[in-house]
Parts: sequence; C-alpha cells; structure tokens
Amino acid sequence: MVSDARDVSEDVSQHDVSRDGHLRSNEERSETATSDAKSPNASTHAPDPRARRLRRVFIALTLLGLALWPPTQHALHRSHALGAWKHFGLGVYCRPKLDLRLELVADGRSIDPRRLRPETHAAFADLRARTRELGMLTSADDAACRLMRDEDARVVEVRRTQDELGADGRIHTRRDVWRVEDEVCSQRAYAVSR
Amino acid sequence: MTTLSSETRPPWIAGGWRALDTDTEPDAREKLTSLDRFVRWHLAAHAAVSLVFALREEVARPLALGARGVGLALLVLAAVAPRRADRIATPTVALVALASALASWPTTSNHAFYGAFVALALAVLRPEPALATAYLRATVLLVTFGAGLQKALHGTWWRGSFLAWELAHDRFVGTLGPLLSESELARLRSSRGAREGFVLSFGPLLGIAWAVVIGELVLPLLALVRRTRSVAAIGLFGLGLGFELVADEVLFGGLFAAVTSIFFAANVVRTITHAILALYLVRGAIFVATGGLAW
Repeated sequence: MVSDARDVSEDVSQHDVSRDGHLRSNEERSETATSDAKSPNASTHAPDPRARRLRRVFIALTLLGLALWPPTQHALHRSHALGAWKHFGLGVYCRPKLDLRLELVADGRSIDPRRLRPETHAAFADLRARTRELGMLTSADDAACRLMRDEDARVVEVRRTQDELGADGRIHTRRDVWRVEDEVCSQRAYAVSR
Repeated sequence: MTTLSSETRPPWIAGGWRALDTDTEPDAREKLTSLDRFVRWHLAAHAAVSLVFALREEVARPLALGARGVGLALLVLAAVAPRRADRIATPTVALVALASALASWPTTSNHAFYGAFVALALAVLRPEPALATAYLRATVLLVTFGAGLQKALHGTWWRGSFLAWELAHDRFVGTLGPLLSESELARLRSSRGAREGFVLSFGPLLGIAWAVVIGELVLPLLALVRRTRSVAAIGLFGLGLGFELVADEVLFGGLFAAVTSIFFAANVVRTITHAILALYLVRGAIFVATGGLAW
C-alpha cells in the first residue's frame, strides 16, 4: 500500500496525471506539457480531437462486444444450437464435435439422400456444413425448395439430429426441425424468375 | 502488507507493473513495434497454413486460392517492409486479416478473429501507443475470462467430461495421458462408442481441469488489481503457453502469449515475440519433415 502510494505521487509529479489519467493519451500530453514532446510515445502529428474521439468509440464498442459476445453465444448455443467452437465466442474446447445427421421428409415420405439429384445433394451437403457451425440460425430454404421441386411435394421437413456431450459425461441427442412449405418456395422461384 | 516496490521488483517486469494504466509506460511505442512485427509474421504464417490446407481440399476454387495467395504475399511484404513503410503496412495488414477472417466465415477460427482484432487495434490506435497497449491488455483479460466463462457454463470441465472424451479418442494422450493411471486410460478407451462414462476420476488431471477453468476466471480479475498484476500476468502467459504445448494450438497459443507479453517490459516483449517466431519455424519444419506438405 505504502509503495503504491509513493509510486502514484511520483507519477503525479512526473506526468501531471489528471483524475482520468489512465485514459489520457500521449497526444493530450503533447498539448499540455513541453517535456512530454520528447517522450518516446509522443505523436509527431497535430492532435485531432475527432480522431481521438473515434478511437475511444472504437475501444468502447470493441471491448463491450468482446465482453458480451461469449455469454450471448452460449445462449444462442442453447437456444439455436449455434456451434460452440467458432465465431470468436471463445467456447473452443468446451464441446467435442460429435455426429450430426440430417433426415429429409417430403409430404410425410422419408427421402433417401443417396438418390437425390447432384445439385440437391450438394445443397444438402452445404446445409449440413453450415448447420454444424450455425445450428438452426442458418436457413434450410434453398435445399428444401430444391427437394420440394424434385419430389413435387408441398411440405418438406429437414430433421436435424445432433449428439452432444453433457456435463454428466453422457451423450445427449438434440433434435430440431426446419419445416418449409411451398409458399416459401414459390416466392423464391418468383424472385429468381424476375 | 508488503508489496513489491520499484526497487525490489525484478527488472524484466518493471515496465509492466502498472499494466492497465497508460501514463507510466514510456516504452509503449517500443512494445507496439515488436508486437506489430510479430503480428505481421504471425498472420503470414497463418495465411501460409490456410493456403496449404485449401490446396488440399477436394475441390480447390482457383479464385479463392488466388485471393489467399495475394493475401499471403501482402503479409510477407508487410513483414519485411522497412519501418518507414509502417504507415501503409500496418493498415494493409489489418485489412488483409479482416478480409481473410470474414471470407472464411462461418468456419473462421477464434485465433483468426483475434489476429484480425489485434491487427486492427494496432492500425487504429497507432497514434496513441500507451492507450493501444492498455487496450491490448484489456483484450487479453476479456478473451481469457470469456474462455473461462464458456467452460464454466458448458460445464464439461467440472467432471472432466470434455478431456475424458478427447482422451478416450486418443487426443492429448501424449501430453495429458501420463497424468492418468493405466487403468483409467484403459477405461476411457473402452468407453469409445458408448453413450456414457466420459468423466474423470478424482486425480491430478481433474485438478488441472478445475485449475484451468478457475484460472481463466480469476487471473483476469487479479490482473485488475495492481498488487496482484505481476503474478496474474505470468499466469496468463503460462495459460497461453499451456494451450500451445498441450493442444498443439501453436498459432493461437503463440498469438495469445505474444499479446500477453505486453504486460512486461519492452525488452521482454521483443525476446518473447522473437522466441515465438522461432517456435513457429521449428513447428513448421516438423510439419514439413513429417510429410505435412505431401498430398
């Protein structure tokens, strides 16, 4: 404590520390103290108050984002199966990457993915890759509409089954469903044709 | 209560004593210069690794490969550029890093995002070095705390279920395996294909799992207190190195350790960043020697 107090008093005499000194920049010092102009940190440019303000906005926004994003990502993982490893949510090494299956159903009929047309197969492969990272936050419309057109169906369901390791050391299965109706697909087709 | 005074504290940590303050850091610009140089080489190394893996993809897209190649060339140019070119090189590095991170979304790795984040901070806060170093230290604390928070919330570290699963599937066995008994390791391996039983028995490894989670949550808080900052900074640096060694996360561990070194004096930052780059070279040589470039 004594040591800290002495250090602080030294700082005050040497650097003219203000109450918000911990956020004062070297540009500010160059404005107020001649000795500071010789500091190795001193800027060689004229101080620009607008640039300084923008830098502080950058700091505030990025630090706030960095503080809030991990718990937000966790909430999205729970609610929408957002992948834990990526997206700078820092949840890496929290969950092993386990099996993910997509089951396709058109008008109540189960569809064998092996007999899909190549374009439709590729669309579902892309959906599978996206949903591994983005969970239910990604859209299945493109792949589902292709399947709907191929099967001449009115409703397509894409059932997503994902295994997850729990805190209890057991594998839990999580199921989610995208349900796409022909209304969605006809709008897409209209948009494309225009 | 006794505290470490300026006379008794070790000289290599003197510059990092008031790590989150900006008015007492005369060597901030020197630290940033070392870190800036490191980040350019780090991002170039990351771009090179990404290019190698992209070339291995079954359907390599020429346009994407070309963009990666251009990015790598720009980063190498920036890394070897003289200091008088910093005004152009630093923003260029930030732009390339940001573009690279966004282009690979949604599969962008955390360390690619952090690399872009640090490069952007170096470019934007360049006119205010002391503010920049304080900001970078704050990011170290938030990244560490965020990682600890995620581990605590997911809950897979309290009974060691994440590590148990990985060990059961022969990952981390070389580094963490010796901390388990033969019978425990055999039990985990026999659980492969099962849907339960992925927990660690009470022992050193479970202790380490707890220490990691608690360390990630507590060390950033200790770093906020001036009296405990030195110990916390060393702990944070150790965590970065630990991940680098145990999980072979060379690029994340290297970047994190380099940014954490900002807590220390300028000469220490320079030594650490050089040492990490040497480590990258060694790891790269091992990668090539073990057939990493063969496909």
